[in-house]
Amino acid sequence: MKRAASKRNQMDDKQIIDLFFDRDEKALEYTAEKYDSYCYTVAHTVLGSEEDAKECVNDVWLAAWDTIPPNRPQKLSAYLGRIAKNLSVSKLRAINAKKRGSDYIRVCIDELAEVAPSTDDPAGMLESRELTQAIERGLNSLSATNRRVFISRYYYLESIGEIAARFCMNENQVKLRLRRSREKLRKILRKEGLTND
Amino acid sequence: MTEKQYGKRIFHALEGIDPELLFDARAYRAPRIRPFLLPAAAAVVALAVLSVILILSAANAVKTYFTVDTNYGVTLELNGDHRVVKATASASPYASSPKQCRGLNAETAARQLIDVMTERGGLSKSANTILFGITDESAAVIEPVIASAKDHGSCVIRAVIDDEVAAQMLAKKRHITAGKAALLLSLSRAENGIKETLLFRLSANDIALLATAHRLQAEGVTVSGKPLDTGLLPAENIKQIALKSYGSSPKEIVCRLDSDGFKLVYTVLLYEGNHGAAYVIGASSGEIQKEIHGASTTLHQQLERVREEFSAASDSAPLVQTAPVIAEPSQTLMSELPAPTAAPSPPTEALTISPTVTPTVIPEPTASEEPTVSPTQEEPAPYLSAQFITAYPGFFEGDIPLTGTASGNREHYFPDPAYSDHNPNAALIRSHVELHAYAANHPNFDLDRYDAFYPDEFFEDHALILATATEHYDNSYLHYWYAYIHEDILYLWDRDLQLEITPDNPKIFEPPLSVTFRLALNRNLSDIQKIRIIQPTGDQFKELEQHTEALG
Repeated sequence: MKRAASKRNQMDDKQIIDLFFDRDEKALEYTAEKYDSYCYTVAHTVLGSEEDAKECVNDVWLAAWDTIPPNRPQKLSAYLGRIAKNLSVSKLRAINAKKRGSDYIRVCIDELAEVAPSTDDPAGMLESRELTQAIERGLNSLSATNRRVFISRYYYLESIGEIAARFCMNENQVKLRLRRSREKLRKILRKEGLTND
Repeated sequence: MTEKQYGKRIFHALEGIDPELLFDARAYRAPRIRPFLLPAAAAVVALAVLSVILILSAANAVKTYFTVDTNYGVTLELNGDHRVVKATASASPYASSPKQCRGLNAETAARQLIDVMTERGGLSKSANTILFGITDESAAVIEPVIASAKDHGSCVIRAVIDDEVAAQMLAKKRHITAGKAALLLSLSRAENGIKETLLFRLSANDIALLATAHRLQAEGVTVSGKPLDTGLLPAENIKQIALKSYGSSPKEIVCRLDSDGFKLVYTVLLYEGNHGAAYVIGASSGEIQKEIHGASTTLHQQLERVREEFSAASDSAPLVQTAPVIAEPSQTLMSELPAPTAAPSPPTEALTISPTVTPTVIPEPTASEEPTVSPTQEEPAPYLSAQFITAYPGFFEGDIPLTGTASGNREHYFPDPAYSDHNPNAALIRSHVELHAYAANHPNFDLDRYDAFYPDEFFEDHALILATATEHYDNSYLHYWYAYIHEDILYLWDRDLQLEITPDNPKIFEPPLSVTFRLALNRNLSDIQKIRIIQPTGDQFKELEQHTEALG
């Protein structure tokens, strides 16, 4: 068994991808054997729960089956890792949203409303994609810690206490960083021309 | 779109941002600092700093020392590795430490030191003696240098500093090295008549000559080689000088090298029956310094008394301060060492030895003594005479004729130390125009505060400022006098400024004051016929101010 497993481990990514393209279900078997640990680690890093991580990893194989073809990844590990990241972060957001409830999300949305440059902002007319890109540029202009805190709060919907614990801060420091990040983001969006000022 | 709607859009827009950013935010874990780590880290840092300090202090800790003397002495202090931690030239207070020795190993430092001393003439045609003062610890370190010095033909005195406390005390008192002090103490013990007061000013070579002449066997002292005596007149010549002065041929002549406390002399005793004479003759100059005639039996005693006088004169005369010699560019090493000088000469009065003349005792300057400016050094301008001041104790009250000129310090004017207590007004006369000199020596003295309204040019022709710090009461105020000359009358205005001592200005006039007071004018007082003292009040003050402005 060990020898067989070892042989399969030696199967290169190109062969596995070919199996995907051949719609051979062994592709999933080989992929799982080769990248299960890796994807689990990624998912668990985000989700923090074994059960959720395992579930997420299964979703990764399915997502790979659904997207290869038409996609032909240059590097399978990176491709699977990206899927694992996307799925796990989305899953965590969903889990937290469910856990916190709509009131909590409303609070976050209210906070994010501070980022609005003005009430009659033409950003409302923007495509979501443009807004996302502007926000991404804004986030990249923040310090790494502030960016992480911001994402933890408004993407992952983590509580202030959870963020404070993870970043070894007190809650006031977290709130302060969030407020500063919102102000900065607002200025950046304004600068980006997403306002009629 | 409302803000809330906008917030919602941003909330959803976040879903589209780069998953790497999202993953990074989630994957990040701040490094946890365990509570005990902070004090532990602080303790580690403190230990490290402490270790460095200990290592450094251990490296700089003085373990032992040795001294090298020719005409002047240098003390080299060594650490445990026998490297020089500190080097101090003792010849003169002006000489700073020969810092270049620092860090060198003891042997190298000593060799270089001797080289420099040789270059500077410390070991020259007329002197070849090096005195090494060593401790038990430094003996082994310095022994090769001593041996090497002997090999080079020098006369070497090796003095073990055994009674370190006594040696250090004497060294401090006489501004000499501990090695030289140990030598002097040992020589004093070896021969009763040899006193350190007669020796401490002599060079190592002169001491070696004296010790050799007296065949002194001093404990802990070994002399190797022969000290050069080329600077001395031969004993035969000295005898001839004495005989020539004596006028006849005595039965017995005893000639011996000695010291007058400043340089080598010969004492010549001439015996002729019950009568005789004693001469003290400069060993280098051949000059008769003292001549005693009397009964043979008392000559010795009289000579001893003379030696006592020499000793007292040397003891009380100021230490000769040798100005440092600027080193030649090539002599970079030890450039701060003072150049050796000939054996210091005593004050003229001390040299003129006669039974009736007492050597002038000049107080020895102390480190704490404030430098003062002597009135006669800077300005030859006329000064109010002491006679004038003492002759007119009540001169404030009216016009006073001026007589003569003189100069002096406040003691000169006021021999009575209680003057200021008894008569504060009288104290005004010891007032001074030395504020600038005082300020120069006292960084905390706020000259501008006191002198601002009297520009320098003000002094030149028109006026003088007389000021006095009151040393009594609470040291809280300064008397100022404003003065000007008008139609040959010197007007003095009592400004009596009240200067409170404040936290900014706490101890300006902390007694005892060390200001040299001076009353001076930059013009000839002989033009002035009278002094009018005015105690200004009210309008007069205004008038004074106007006058000040007009002059300004």
